[in-house]
Amino acid sequence: MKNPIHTNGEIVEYLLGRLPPERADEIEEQIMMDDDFHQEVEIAEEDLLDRYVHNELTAEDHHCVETIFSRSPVRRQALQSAVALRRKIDSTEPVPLRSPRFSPYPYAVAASILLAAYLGVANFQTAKQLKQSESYVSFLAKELENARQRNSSTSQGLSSQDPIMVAKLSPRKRTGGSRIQLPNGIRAVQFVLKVPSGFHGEGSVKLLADPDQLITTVPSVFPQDVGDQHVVVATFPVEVFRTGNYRLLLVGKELNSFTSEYSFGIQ
Amino acid sequence: MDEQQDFDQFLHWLDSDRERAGQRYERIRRKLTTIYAAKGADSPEDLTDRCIERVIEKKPWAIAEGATPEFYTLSVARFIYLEWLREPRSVQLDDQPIPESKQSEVEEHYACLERCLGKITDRNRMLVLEYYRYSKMAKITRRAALARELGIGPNALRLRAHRIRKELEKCIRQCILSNERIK
Repeated sequence: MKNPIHTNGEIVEYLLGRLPPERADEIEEQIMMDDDFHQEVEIAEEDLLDRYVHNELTAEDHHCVETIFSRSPVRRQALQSAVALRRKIDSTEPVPLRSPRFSPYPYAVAASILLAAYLGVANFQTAKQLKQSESYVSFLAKELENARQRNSSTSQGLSSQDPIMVAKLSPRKRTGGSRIQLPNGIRAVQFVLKVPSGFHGEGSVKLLADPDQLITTVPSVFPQDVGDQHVVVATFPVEVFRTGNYRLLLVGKELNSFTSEYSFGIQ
Repeated sequence: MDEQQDFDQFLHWLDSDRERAGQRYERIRRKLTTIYAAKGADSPEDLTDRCIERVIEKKPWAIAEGATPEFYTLSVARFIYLEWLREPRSVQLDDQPIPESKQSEVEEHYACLERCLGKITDRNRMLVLEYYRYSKMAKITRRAALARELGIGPNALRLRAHRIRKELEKCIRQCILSNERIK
């Protein structure tokens, strides 16, 4: 790209097919390589169609738009959609907008009321969240204790005798993760994460919703041998899951220690 | 190797995460359609399909060329366009009359727009109708007032209006397609 700066006028010339080939090539390259620039081109096309339906274009440009936009079915549809939108707008009353000149007093009063209401709601929400966090922590502690008891009592490791679903996951493959369907009535999902035999010591398991939104962390996990597998167990209450893609990140506590990623989807 | 496997490899070339790969694929398709339309192709969507098929056929992911998928696809797109130019087709004269839109087509678009406007939120409906309502100087002042009303900057308003309009156009296309299927 020799000169990536394109004015709106140049983009319009490009859309009307009137740009010299070498300049058009540069615009094409920028369209392909830069998503924001492509969005600008799409907006310029909408503006062009609006000016067409408002009869704001010169006779030459008006004819050019008609010719070009009648050539391909999809562009013809875009033109007809612009005409339909114009007709719809003409058939509706404009919404009265606030005047820029206004007295600040009523707004100040309204803002004070809103602020007071907001603070009340925020206080209530914080108290509610605190209560939820406390019950969640006690729930996790209970589940962890249950998991430890189950691990010590069976050679096959974890089972789903109680309403906990067990999901065994291997480290993330490039092709994507497992799909998990949550049965009705379960209280938690217990993940059995396969880890290399070389992983020892304390770690933590982070639960993230794609893309990289941290939901919660199980702060202290230890690898254990279940049957012939070296695994880490982490349990999460079913409430934290919605339909979508998730990742579990197992991170060793020591600096530069082991990190492993597990991906899965909830259906 | 079957076509599905080739397509899966193509998606993996775009991104190892399937969802992100799908989004990038859609962006590439839209960009190609914009480019072919500006080049004056009579069916930009067909050339876009042809270009994607050719890229998959060439399996560029197997060759360590280091070109990004977008750059590679653009070079194939230009080649496809040259091929299309060489193909025989009926010549359209410049002074040939532009086909008038049939009244039924116009009505169908309007009905679909009404239906699609019913599917978006009241706030978005108000925004799109007010944003595109005015022309010339009134357009500038009213859009500034609309941005103030919504508590956002002029550029954020511009992008929001664009996104809603794209959503409406997509909905209208689907509406017209489903009408055609019923016919």
